[in-house]
Amino acid sequence: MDAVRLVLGKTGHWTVRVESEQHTRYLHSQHDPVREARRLVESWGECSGREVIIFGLGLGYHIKEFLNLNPYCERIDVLEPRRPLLDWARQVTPEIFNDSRIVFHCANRDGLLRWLHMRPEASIHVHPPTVESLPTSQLKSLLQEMLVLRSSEQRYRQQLADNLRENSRNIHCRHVLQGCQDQYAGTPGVLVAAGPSVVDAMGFVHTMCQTGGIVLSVSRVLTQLLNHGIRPFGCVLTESSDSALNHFKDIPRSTTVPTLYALPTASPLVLASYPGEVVYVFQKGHDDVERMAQTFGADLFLTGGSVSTLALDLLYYYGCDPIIFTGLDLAYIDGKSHADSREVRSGMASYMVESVSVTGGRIVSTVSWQSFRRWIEEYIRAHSDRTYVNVSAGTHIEGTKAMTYEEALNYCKANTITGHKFEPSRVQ
Amino acid sequence: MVMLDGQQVAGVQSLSQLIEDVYRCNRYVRKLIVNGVERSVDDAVVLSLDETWVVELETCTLDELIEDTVASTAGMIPPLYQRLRAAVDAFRVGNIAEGCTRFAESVPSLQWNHAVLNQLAQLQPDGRSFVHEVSAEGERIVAELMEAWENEDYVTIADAIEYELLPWLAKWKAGVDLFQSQMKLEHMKDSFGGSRGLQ
Repeated sequence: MDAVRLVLGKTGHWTVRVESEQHTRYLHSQHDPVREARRLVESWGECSGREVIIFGLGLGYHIKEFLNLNPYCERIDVLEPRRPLLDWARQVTPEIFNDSRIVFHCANRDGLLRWLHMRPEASIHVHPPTVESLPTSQLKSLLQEMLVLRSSEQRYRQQLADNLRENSRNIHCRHVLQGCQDQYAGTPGVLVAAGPSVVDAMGFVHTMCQTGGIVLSVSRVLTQLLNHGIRPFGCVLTESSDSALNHFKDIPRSTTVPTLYALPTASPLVLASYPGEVVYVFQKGHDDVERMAQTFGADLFLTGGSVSTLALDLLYYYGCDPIIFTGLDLAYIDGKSHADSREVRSGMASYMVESVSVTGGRIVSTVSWQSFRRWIEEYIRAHSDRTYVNVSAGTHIEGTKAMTYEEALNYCKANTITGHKFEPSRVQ
Repeated sequence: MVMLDGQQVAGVQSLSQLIEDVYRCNRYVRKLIVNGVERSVDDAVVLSLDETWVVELETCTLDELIEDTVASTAGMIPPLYQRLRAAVDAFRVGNIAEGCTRFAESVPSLQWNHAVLNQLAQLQPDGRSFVHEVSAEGERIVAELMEAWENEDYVTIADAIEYELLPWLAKWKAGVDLFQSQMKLEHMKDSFGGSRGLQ
């Protein structure tokens, strides 16, 4: 059990030390907790709703700053899993306890988890040191995921806007995805992700291509497929940075490449370097992109924050059934994160978590992979009119049927819609 | 073929022997190029010399070596400062992965600075110079940082960087700048026929 202690920091401000068997961590700066709180609250941006939830009371420094910066917020629910902190915060920041807009909730982790699940995610703000100091739990994973996704959004916001502006010059009606819903209804669809197990899936993917399956690969794995003589139906690109240039740099010039399905916020440099046709796929949830989609009459897609999740929505859009996941490991396999990783990891880092593998054992994953898993599981629940098959080797994904390659091929053979004509892809 | 400061040297049996001879003449290796590739002295001394090889050795005095090192340090501190600042900003808003990446990127430059300080401190064994003071302070801060790192205590890591490591770097940079301006003055004196008195 963790011990919490109220301690005096190096400059006379109060802070809290959380002592567990493995770690000793502080909840506030020992030098300037007020400045620290201001920076955190500023990073949350302007309060968009009238009601917000703040997870983690600490000693209340950030709650006080939040009130200063958001005087028009009408209600603030503060969630804190450790009861002593309420008493200590009452001494350190009494102002927040006199403010009628603030409601404090102290409950166990399961209680707080249930509470958070019932509220819209956009209204939840998180005190990161409180999250980091929690013991491993579902609550901690959920909050860590939230932090990871928000950091990523903040970091890429400007880059996405710049890319969209640059790409908008090259986007024409004939290059946007529209009106193709259910075009391949009943055809098996294969999502080829870049997890380590994809190297074992080449034979399977090859067969699926030859039998007319709709195979969509993520950009990172395209060269590998082409090198194995496999030309997928399409390749998906979401990467906004130029680092994705590496995904295509080794494609031989003479190779015929598949259509690239790219977000209009993808790196313009990478799009210009692609030696084939580019079709723009407009994402939901980005205001400028949605406006542009309206102009072109383009369909909108869910991105889910990763290239694999966009590929999943594309396969669903095309009407594919079943939808088969390959290389979607969302976990380290033999210490590797991706099929092309040179680095082999040993040991655990703070952003690593354990999850259940497809075989029912434990497997090492990361907070962000687990957030994608949750997104996919949510997607499957909301799109339950299809069958989802997982032939990857990593994390178990709820709602999918785990199969071997052979079982998946037999399943496709047995469940193909009669009368649908498959045109085998050209295999080089 | 072995070239020493632009002059061909005959009869060299081994690189380690040649480097020993350089040290014996109170000179130091500034640059070592073997077959067109720059190598460190540690790498090169274990090489067995082949007659087909082209070895270029550039030497300097201790003063010149110190000047070179200090110039490199002066160039290295500002980007290091920026990376550490970015790490603090990321840790403070809960972007742990970004903070860890920026901090990890800073570690080689930090180690380099510590090595330079140690080398410079060894030149003045009395242990009471500015360099000794900065070196000891740096070691204390790094020990504190390492402890926080082991604890995955990102609040204390950010504190140690923001309130100790960055001011320490600023102090070290001020010392480096002062040294460089003094050296500039010495060079000006030299060009007017004065004498240098670094050592």
